[in-house]
Order: sequence, then C-alpha cells, then structure tokens
Amino acid sequence: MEPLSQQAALFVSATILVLRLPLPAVARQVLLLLANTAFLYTFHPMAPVVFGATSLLGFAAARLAARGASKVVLALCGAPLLIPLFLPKLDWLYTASAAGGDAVGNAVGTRAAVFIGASYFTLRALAFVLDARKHGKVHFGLFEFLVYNSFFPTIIAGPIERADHFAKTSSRLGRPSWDDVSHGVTRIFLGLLKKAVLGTLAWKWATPFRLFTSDPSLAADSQFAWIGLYAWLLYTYLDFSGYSDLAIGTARLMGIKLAENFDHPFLKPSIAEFWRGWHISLSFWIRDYLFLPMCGKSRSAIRPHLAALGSMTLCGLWHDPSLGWGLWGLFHGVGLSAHQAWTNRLRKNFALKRRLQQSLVIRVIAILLTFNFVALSWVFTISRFDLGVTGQYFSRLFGL
Amino acid sequence: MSDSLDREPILAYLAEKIGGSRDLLPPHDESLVDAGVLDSFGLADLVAAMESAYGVKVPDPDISMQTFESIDKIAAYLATALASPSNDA
Repeated sequence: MEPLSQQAALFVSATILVLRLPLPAVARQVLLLLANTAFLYTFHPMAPVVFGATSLLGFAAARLAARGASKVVLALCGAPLLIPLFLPKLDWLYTASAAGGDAVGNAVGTRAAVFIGASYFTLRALAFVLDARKHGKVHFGLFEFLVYNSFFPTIIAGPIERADHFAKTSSRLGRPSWDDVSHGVTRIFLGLLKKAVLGTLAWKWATPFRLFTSDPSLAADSQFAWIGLYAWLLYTYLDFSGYSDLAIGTARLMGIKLAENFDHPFLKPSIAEFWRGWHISLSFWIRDYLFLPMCGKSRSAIRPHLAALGSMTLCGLWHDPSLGWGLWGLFHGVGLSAHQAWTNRLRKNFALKRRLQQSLVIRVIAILLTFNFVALSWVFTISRFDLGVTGQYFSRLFGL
Repeated sequence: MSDSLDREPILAYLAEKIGGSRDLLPPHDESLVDAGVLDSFGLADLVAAMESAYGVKVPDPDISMQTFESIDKIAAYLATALASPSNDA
C-alpha cells in the first residue's frame, strides 16, 4: 500500500473513524490489531506471519529477561529476532519488489517493500527484551505488546517507538482531544507537503546523483555534482521526515502521541548533534542498545571510539547490507570519533568551549562543515558494491 | 539534594573533565549533557570511576544516559546502590 495512495487514505480514515465508535477499550485495541494485520497483509501475505513469529519470540524472550535469565539464554532467544532485520533487504527480495523507472521514488518505501517494516518491529521487539532485562519487568501483556509492536502508522519508516513512551498514551486510543486532531491534521499536511511537493522538486534536482551510475555525463561538472548531491540529501530528508510527519499525524488522530523523529538535523553544529536530530528514534536505539553496551564500563580511552566505529558501521548495514552503506556508517563513525577527540581537548578549557559555542560566526561555520560532512557520506551509497563509481563521483565533486 | 551521599568524588571527577574549575559545573539538577560536561563517549569512564570511588557495582543494564544525566541523578543512583543489600560486601 503506497503511503500517498487513495487506498491508504481510505484505510487510515476508516480506521480512525472505527476507533472512535463507542466501544470498550479492549474492543478498540482488537480493532486496531486487526487493522495493523490487514495493513501488513497488503504488502505481502507472509508479512503478518513474520510479524507474529517475531513478536511472540520477542515477548517470550522479554518474559525470560524480566525473570533474570542468563545472557546465553537471552542470546539464544534473541538471535532469531535478527533474521527479519535483514530479510527485507536481501538482493532477490529487493529486485523483486523495487519499483523501476524514473518516477518519483520513495526512499523509504521501495527499499523494503516485501516484508515491509520487519526491521522496525524487530528493533522494537529487541528493545522490549533489553528493557525487560533492565527494569526486571515487561511493560505490556502479550495482547498489548502485539498492538504496540504492529502499530501500522510506524510500520514503514518508524519512529521506533519505545514501549514505555507508547504506554503513556495508549489508554487514549480512539479518544483524541481537539488538540490532538488539530496537531494531527497539521502534521499530515506538513508530511504531504514535504513528500509530494518539496520532495518531488528535490528528486528532480538530484538527477545528476541519482542517475550517475547509468549516465555519468549528468555530473560532468563539479557544480552539477554538488547540486545533485545536496538535492539528494535534501530529498532523503524530505521523504523520510515527511513520512514521520504522516505517521505522527495519523497516530495523533487516533489519540496516540508518538516520539519525534527529526529535529532540524541540517542546522546542527556537529556530527554528534546531527545524530540527535536525524532519525532520532534509531540513533537513540543504536546508542542505548549497541554503543553503550560496546563501551561497557571501561576506563579505556580507545574503547568508546572503537564502539562508535562498530555501532555506526552496523547502523549503515541495517540500512542496507552492502559495502556502500557499510562505508557510509564507518564514515559517520570516524566523524563521531574525530569530533569526540576534539571535544575532549576543548572541554579541558571549558570557558573557551562556551565562548566558541556562543559565537554566531563559529556556529555558522560549524553548521556548514557538518552539513557537508553528512552530504559527502551519502556519496558512499551511490553504488551498493562498486567502489569505482563512488570514487568517480568524489572525483567529479572535487574536479579531479 | 535529598540523599546524604558525599558528592565530593562526583564533583572532583566532573571538574577534572572540564579542566579543574568547579565553578563551571552546571547546577546539580541540570543536565550534564546539555551543559557539555558529559556525553555518551564519557559515560563508561564516569561509571567505572564512580564504581571505584564509592565501591559499588553498577549492573550493565543500569548504564544509561538517563540514569547519569545530572549530578543529582548520579548521587541518587549511587545512594540507592550503596543502600542495596547486593552491595554489602
């Protein structure tokens, strides 16, 4: 089901209206679970099965974790959860599902169109297990967990809603206030504006980057190469954050307040702050469930840097298990590591650090540097495995 | 500051991280992250230092930015950990 299709609009409208019927809370949850399942089914008949298996396994592992099961038991239970994480991104599934041609694409939708959302509900299930271990209890019973984990507005592109956050508003399912309705409609409008209007413009300007593999002459000059790259980055942001707006707005119309997923990422003065504004729910997931466990509680100065390289490379591979995306992640890890080394030095002169942070000129320069660093990272994704193409694009950018 | 924990080791550690001046540390209830004193790269070191200074054991699942976000939160966590029977050794 395409997010901007009439079919999707009808489905969302019908679900919102049905949830408003004067029914008991449990009945509304049952209806939502049915809607979530139907939503998954429209993408692939097997998708609800994968979801069900993942969720049941996740819930069982969480119950064991809450009772203090050993790491070995948890690893055995949790390992199969990782399978759906990469399943939608395997080549044969990708080629079977990806939309061809030069139509305006959907950076989120086409890449994971078979078992769409598997990586999102898997990440939520994994977080559920690890949180249960941390708190010594599970946030939901099985039925509530299934409703939470399959919540259809977040299936395609997140946010990766945390169970404790979802639990805060789930009691208002189907009972939105006027404030919820007002905010929901505004966010949906903003999402449509980003995806359908601004995203379409950026998509066209990104042609030198998008079609470079098949027609390198489109980026013959350095300026076209830069315009194409900037436009592609902008398109990625508009498409992705636009989808998040649609998800947040739709959920709000049902009375559910989801966590924000973007916070002006291109106005951040460092790569560390960029990641606190870009796909926030994923970057916090990576920080809390990959980076910090990799750091342990060691006083080693080098270990956090190695953890940054490792966790960001895994982040890249989560986007797409390919050489290009692995290097994209590694590049970000190197950036975070270098930024941290600089921050540690500067922190020793804390008064100077504060003065620099308060300087408008320094801030503007830092924002421009960060934006360009992020833009350059996307060059690694121009080809999944052919580093020659990547090298060619870098050469075009710098007129080499 | 409801706990009776001696905060001196916490303040000494954080002050050392910013060049020695305690005057530049944020108020105890404010975020160390927002103040630029602490970040996720420094969390592991902070936890290891606190374990050593207070003789407590911080379980891995407790290591999170939220738990150690401010001086008050660090002190509250350590006070609870010290009072826990599992730390009687």
